[in-house]
Amino acid sequence: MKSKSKILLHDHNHDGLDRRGFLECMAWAGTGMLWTVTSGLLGSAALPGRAGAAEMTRGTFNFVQISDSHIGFNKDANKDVAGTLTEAIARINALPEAPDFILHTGDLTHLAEDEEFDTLDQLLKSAKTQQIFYVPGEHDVLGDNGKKYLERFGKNTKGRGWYSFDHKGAHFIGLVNVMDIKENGLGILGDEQLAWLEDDLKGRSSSTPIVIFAHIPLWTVYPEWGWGTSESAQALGYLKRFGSVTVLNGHIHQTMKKVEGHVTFHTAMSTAFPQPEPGKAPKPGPMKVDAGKLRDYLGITEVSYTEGKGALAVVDATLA
Amino acid sequence: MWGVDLVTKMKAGTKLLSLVLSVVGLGLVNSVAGEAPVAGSPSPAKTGRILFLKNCAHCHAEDATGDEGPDLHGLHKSDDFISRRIRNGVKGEMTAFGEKFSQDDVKALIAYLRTLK
Repeated sequence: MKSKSKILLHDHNHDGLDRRGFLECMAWAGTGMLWTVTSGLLGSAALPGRAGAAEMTRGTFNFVQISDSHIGFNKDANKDVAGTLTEAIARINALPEAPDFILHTGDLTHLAEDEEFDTLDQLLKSAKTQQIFYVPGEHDVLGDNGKKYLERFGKNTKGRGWYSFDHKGAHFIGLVNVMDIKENGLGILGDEQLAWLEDDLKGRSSSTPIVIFAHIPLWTVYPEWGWGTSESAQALGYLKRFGSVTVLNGHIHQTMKKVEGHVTFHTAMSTAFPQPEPGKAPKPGPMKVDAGKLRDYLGITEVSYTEGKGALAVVDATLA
Repeated sequence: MWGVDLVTKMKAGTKLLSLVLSVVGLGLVNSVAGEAPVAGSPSPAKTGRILFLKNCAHCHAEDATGDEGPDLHGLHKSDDFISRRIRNGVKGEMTAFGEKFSQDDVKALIAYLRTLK
C-alpha cells in the first residue's frame, strides 16, 4: 500500500540559517509519516505498518486530530462514512497510550442535520479519550448560520464558537473561520474574533507552546479553490513572538505540511473521502478512488508535545 | 414567471436607463425591470450571485456547472419549485437554507439562476 504526502521543511532551528523553500515530495510504503522538530533539529521517518504510531516518541502528552468526518455523505466517493469514522476511532483506541483528548477540525456532518450530529456523537462515544474538542466546518453551519452546531458544541465558547484552553503547559485556541465564507471561498475570521484572539494572547509568555486549530487552512494552500483564510496573516501576526506555534486544519482532505520560522502548519486527512491535490483536477469536490485504495487517503493525526522541546511532533496515519 | 429572453431584454433596457439616470446625477443604478429602483442597491441577480458564491458554489462550483451538486444551468423548474428546494434542501443530498435565507434572498438566488443558460 502506498500513500503520498508532501512535506515542506523550513528553518526551525532559530539558528539564523534560512532553510525556507526546501520542498520535499515523497511517496513511501507504510501507513504514515513521522516528522518532528525537537530542540531545533528537524527530522522525518516513515512509520512502518499499522503499528507505526506506536513508535512515536511519547511526550508530555499526546492528542489526536481527526477531521472532515462528513457524517451523512453518501455518494460514490464513500458510501459508508460512518464506517470509516468507526475505523478511525478503532485506530485511536489501538494507540499504545490513550490520547489526552481529540480535536475534530470540522465538517463533522455533511448537511448539519440532527440525525447526522447524533450519529457522530454516538460513534465518538466509543473513543478512548478524556475529552473531544470541536470547531465547525462550513458543512456544519451552512444552512442555519451554525445554530444547530452551537446548540450542541457552543457551550463555554465565545462569539460564534471560538475558544481557548490550557493543557499541561500548552495553550490551545479553536478558531471559527467558516461563518460567512467569502465570495471567493476563502475562510473568514472577522474583526470580533481577531480582537478576541489578540486579547487572548496578551500576557502569555512567549515560551508557551501555542496550538491553533480551525477548519479552513490558516495558510494559503490554494486560493483558487478557496483553500485559505482571508485574514490569516493578521491572526498569525499576533503569534510572531511565540517560540512554538502549531496550526492544525482540515477542509482539504489531505495532508500538507509547512514550517515557516517558528510556525508549523499541518492539514489533516479526512475520515470520509479524499479530495484532489490542488489544481490537479478541474474542481475540488469529492474524489472517487478505487475501493481498495480509499483507506490510503483517509486517516488520523497524532500529535505529541514534550515539555522543554521545540515544536510538537505530528504523525499522520492512514486507515489502510 | 418571465421568460429568460424577456428578462434579458428588459435588463438591457434597465441598464441603459440606469446609465442615463446616473449621468443626470440621480445615482440610480442596476435597477431591475418591474421593481422600483433603489439608489445604490445591486440588482437581485447580482445579489443572488453573491449569495450563490458564498453558500452554493462549494457544491455546485463557482461557475454553477456542478461539482458534488448538479449543474444549475438551464433549469426548467418553476420559481416555486426552486424556492422550496432552496428552503427545504434534499434529505441526504442538499443543505436546507430555510433558516438562513430570507424571502428576498431566495428571490435573488432564483433571479441569478435564471441568468444561467
